[in-house]
Amino acid sequence: MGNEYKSIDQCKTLVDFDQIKRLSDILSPDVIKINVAGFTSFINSPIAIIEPNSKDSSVELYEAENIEDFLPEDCRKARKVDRGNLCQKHREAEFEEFVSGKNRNPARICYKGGIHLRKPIIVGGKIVGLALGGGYKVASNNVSAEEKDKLEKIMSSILLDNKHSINERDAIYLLDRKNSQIESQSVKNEYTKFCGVVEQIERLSDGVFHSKRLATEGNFISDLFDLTRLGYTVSINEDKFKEMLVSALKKISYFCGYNKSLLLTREEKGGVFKSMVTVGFSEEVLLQPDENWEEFVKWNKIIFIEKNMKSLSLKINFDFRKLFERIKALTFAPSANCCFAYPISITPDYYGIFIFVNEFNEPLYSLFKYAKPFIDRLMEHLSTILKRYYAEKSSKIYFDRLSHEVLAPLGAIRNWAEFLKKRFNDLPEESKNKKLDDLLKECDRLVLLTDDFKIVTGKKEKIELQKNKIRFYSDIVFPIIYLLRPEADLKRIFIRYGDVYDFPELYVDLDRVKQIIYNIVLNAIKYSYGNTTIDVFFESKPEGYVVCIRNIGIGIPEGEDEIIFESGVRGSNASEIDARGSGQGLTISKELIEAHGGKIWFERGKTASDYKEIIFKVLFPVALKEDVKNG
Amino acid sequence: MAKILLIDDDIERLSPLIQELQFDGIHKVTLVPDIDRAFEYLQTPTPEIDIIILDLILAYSNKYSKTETLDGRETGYCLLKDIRSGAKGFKVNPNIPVIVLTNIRKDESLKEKITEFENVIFLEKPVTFDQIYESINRLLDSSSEA
Repeated sequence: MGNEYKSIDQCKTLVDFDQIKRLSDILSPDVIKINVAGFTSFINSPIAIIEPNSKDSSVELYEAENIEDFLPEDCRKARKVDRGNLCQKHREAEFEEFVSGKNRNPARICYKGGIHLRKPIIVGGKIVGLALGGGYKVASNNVSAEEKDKLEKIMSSILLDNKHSINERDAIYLLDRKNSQIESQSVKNEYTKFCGVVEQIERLSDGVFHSKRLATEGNFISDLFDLTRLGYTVSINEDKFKEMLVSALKKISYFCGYNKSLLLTREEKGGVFKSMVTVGFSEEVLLQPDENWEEFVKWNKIIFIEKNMKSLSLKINFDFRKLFERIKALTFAPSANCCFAYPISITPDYYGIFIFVNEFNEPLYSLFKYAKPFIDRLMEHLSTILKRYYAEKSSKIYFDRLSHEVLAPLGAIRNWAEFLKKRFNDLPEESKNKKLDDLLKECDRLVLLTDDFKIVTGKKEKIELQKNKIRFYSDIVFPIIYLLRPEADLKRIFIRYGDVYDFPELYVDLDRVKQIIYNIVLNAIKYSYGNTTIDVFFESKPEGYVVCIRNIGIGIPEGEDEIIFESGVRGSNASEIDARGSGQGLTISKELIEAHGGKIWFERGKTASDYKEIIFKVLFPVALKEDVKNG
Repeated sequence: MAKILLIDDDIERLSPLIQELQFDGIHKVTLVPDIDRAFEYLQTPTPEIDIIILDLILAYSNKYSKTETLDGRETGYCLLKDIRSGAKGFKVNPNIPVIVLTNIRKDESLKEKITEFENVIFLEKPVTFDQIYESINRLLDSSSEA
């Protein structure tokens, strides 16, 4: 067995740090409380709960030499080959209890014994990581009672104390204790587990990350993301972080096992990071590097640690279990006595499965060989489910916005009518007329909106234009500004339209062009800061006449230049300043101007601090002017 | 006469409702058109209000995050939570009666979430004057009984 590390260079080529960074952005915040911990043995729960604010932290500690003593009774009595499945059932039951709220105690949802709590460790006021591993009692008589007591207290303070903190004196004690000679294998095992915590403390104590175990490195990366998702600010030394990842990869490269799971990602065509497969090992699984490494690398891109979660199945109401049962039966049965799988998060673009394999005694390569077709099918299945789920979700949001758009003017119309009916006789004539004008104005806006819907719903059909000769100022700009003036006044926005008087007569569909300009001016008002000016002006170009609408406001985030014109899309910062809007305005404007042979785009102007200038431009081709002569 | 704080960024369209509420001095309405000014008002030492009418969909500005407000769709809910918990340095009575208005219709889970709070009435737009008057009276009656 070739137990040599791959070279650092070889490993470096496997790390895509940008992708790792991106991963932290896409992790769903609603899953922060459920995480899959590392595996120290197959009896341990894979589920750990991160609850930094939890007040209920009673943990049943174990004290025994024989690991089998920690098994639930039915598991203990079962044949070894059946234990994994039985334990899995226990885990699932506990998980369900947690999810349903029957048992929210993070400690009690795990087994007696291998308790996988993770809580932030704070040393010197800084969070340095999450405590992991059990609330141990040292299971050996080789350690003095006094020392056992001391260690237990420290571990308890890390794991159970509501403050989740360890003082520096205790940290130093742990460091000292780690360096002492330990004879007993079981105590060594315990201390090996402690080391995960100790090494995190070491990172703080001397600023250098000494990792001797992949588990620690994996957990460290995991912790970083956990902490980030919990809202903590984690500052890391990027070089150290990279070094650590490379170090982890070196170890992965010959698959020392280390009871850890790996996250493997596949890169689809075009280099887009699409999916993830996590494989967990409870026992040492060795890869024969000479034989299999290249193929493994070819098939996978090693990126990251395991991530949760089962909550997706709860969210999308799909019984993944049946699917995984099948995978389990068909894939791993020949070589492993237990396996299970969970879907991992996340979005239509980022998803994966978590597969845990117990006592898999063949080279890792074989696992992939057996698993690949099934994983592929599962991934395909997941992809379909996720797409459907997110399509439904986004269509709900879309229709909520749409109904908001319609109901706002409708509500105003209703209330104006109600007001006039109720107070008609008490109002002076002038006021009556003003209110009737307001009512009519809302009706007009509703008509424009209805035209928008027509285009959205029937946009695959060709847009029929009814062209006429129009004067840009009197037929378009003036009525729009009249309609939108109240909205602009509310934000003290001044609309300037000086040279638009000189805009040439065009042969266009009046209603459609009105819609185009209305949508853009409305957006300009919505996304402008108060007390600013919106400029409407035009430029003559050889290819036509360009109407320009310039505003100063939140701007459009970089990278959204194209999608901003897509149906149902609003700038990612839009709701910061205006929570209304269906994201259809620009799509419609684009379609309508293209039906006229023109185009629409925007340019970024000056930027000062948060004030960003955006100029939307609409090109009316010169032919539209020629048509006036011909028409 | 009740002192009403109206938090809604679509004030123009609420104009008839406001005029009705203030007609002949029936009620006194203070308008707050965005979340920043809502914060400002609620943080004043003695905000003089008996009841809040709050729109659910509001721009979140720099007060809340895009995620927690579901892209602005539940900014009103976030504000309501903070009012009830007395967070953000709000000086207003945490149990102040609140009418939550929304254009999102027939969303039972949303309604459930909002009405979990006491002293809250959830109304879907468009609202009638009768609905508003009835809600104001009901909330004020129950708070005076308490």
